[in-house]
Amino acid sequence: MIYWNLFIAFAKVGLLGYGGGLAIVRLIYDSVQPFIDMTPEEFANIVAIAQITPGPVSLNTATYVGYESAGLAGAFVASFGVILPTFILVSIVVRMVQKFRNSTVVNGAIQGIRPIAIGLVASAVVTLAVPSIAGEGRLGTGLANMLGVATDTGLVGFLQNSPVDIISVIILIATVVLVAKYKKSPFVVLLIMGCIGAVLGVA
Amino acid sequence: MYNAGTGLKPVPVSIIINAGRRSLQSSELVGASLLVESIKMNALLELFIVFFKLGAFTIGGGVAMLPLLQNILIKEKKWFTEEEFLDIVAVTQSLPGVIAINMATYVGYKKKGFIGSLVSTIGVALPSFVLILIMANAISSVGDNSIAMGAMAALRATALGLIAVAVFQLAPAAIKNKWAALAAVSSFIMIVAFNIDTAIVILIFLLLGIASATVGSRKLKSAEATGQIPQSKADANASDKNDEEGGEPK
Repeated sequence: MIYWNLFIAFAKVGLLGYGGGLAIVRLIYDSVQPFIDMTPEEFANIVAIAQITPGPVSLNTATYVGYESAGLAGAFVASFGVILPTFILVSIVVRMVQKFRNSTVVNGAIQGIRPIAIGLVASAVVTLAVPSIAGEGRLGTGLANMLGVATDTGLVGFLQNSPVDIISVIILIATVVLVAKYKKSPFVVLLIMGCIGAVLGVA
Repeated sequence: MYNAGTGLKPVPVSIIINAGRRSLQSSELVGASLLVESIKMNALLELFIVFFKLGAFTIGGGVAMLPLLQNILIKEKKWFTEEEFLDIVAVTQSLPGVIAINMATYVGYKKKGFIGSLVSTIGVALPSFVLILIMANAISSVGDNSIAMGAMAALRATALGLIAVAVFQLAPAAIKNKWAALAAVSSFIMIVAFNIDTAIVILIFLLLGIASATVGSRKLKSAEATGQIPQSKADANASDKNDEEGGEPK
C-alpha cells in the first residue's frame, strides 16, 4: 500500500529529521528508496525545485515526492506524515516547558541553549551564503542580457565572470541597510527584491 | 427549576441566562457571545494569516522564516518579548522535525492553545503544499523561466540579508553575560569549522545549562541563604544569568 508506506516513511523523517532543511533531505531519500522507484538524479531535481519553492524545504520535498509517486492523495499523505509527529512532539514539549518553566532543570536547559540559538542562526548564514550569492542562475548575466551587450569585457564581463553574483551581493547589502538602518518591513523588502529579480531575470 | 439551579450554584453565567430569558435581552446575549466568538476567531485568523504569509514568502524554510517571524511577533503584534522569542527559537531548533512546523505549533499553542497550534501549522504548510503542486505541473516551463528564476535568485539573496540582520538583532537578548557569549561563539565554531552535528551541539549546551543551574542553585542555597534574593526566586533564576538578574532590582 503506497499511501501507508509514504505516511510511515515521512512520519519517520518528521520524527528523526534533525537540523531542518537539507539535513532532512538526505533522510527522505533513504527512507523512500525501498518502495519508490526513483533515481538519484530525479530526486536531485525534486530537491532543487523544493529549494526554490517558498516554504520549508523538507515539507516541499515530501509533498513533491508524494505527488510524483502517488498523485494528489500521495502528496497529502506525505505532507501529513512529515507534519504529524512534529506537531505532537512540539505540543507536548510546549506544555512541559510552560508547566515546569520554574524548575531548575528546565530553566537551566533553556538558559543553556538560548545563546546557541544565535550560534545556529549565524551558522545558517554561512551555510546559505554560497547558494544564495554564488549559486546557479546569475542575476548579473540577466542584467547584461537586458542591456543588450554580450561582450566579455568591462562592466559586463565583470558582471558575468566574477566569482559571486554581483547583483545578488548588491541585493544582500541593500536588504541589510533597508531592514537594519531604515527599519523597513522584511515582507516589503522581499516583495521589492523579488520584483527586481523578476525584471532582471537570470541567464 | 431555574431558581433551584441558580440557588444551588450561583454562577454568574446562569444568572445572565435566566435574566436573558425573562426580559427579552436574549438578542443582546447572542450579540455578546457572537462578539466573543468573533474576537476568538480573529485571533485564530490572525495566527493563520501570519503563518500563511510566512509559508508563502520564505524560500529556504525554517531559518529564513526567523527574521519575518521576529518582525511580526515582537515588533508588529507585540505578542512576545525578545527573550520569549529566543526561547521559542531555542526550543524549536532543539526538537526534531521541520523547524517551520515546530515554530508554528509552538507559537500557535502559546497564543491560542491547541486550536491555535493547529491553525498555525495548517497556515504555514498550506502555501508550500499548493505551490509544490503547481510547480510539479508547470516545471518544464518554470525551470527555464528567466522571470521566475530571477525572482527566486533575488529572494534567496534577500533572505540571506534578513537572516544576517536577525543574528545581530537577537544577539543582545541571547547574550547577556560573558558565558553566554562564549557559548554562542563556540557553538558557531563547532558547527561551521568542525562540522559537528547540530543535535550534538545542542545536547552539549543543554546539559551544560542544566549542570550550571543545578550547581548554581545548590551554591545559592548554601551561600546566599542569608542574602537578599528570596530562596524561591533564587531557584527560578539559578543559571548563568543569575548574577545579573539578581543585581538589577537593587
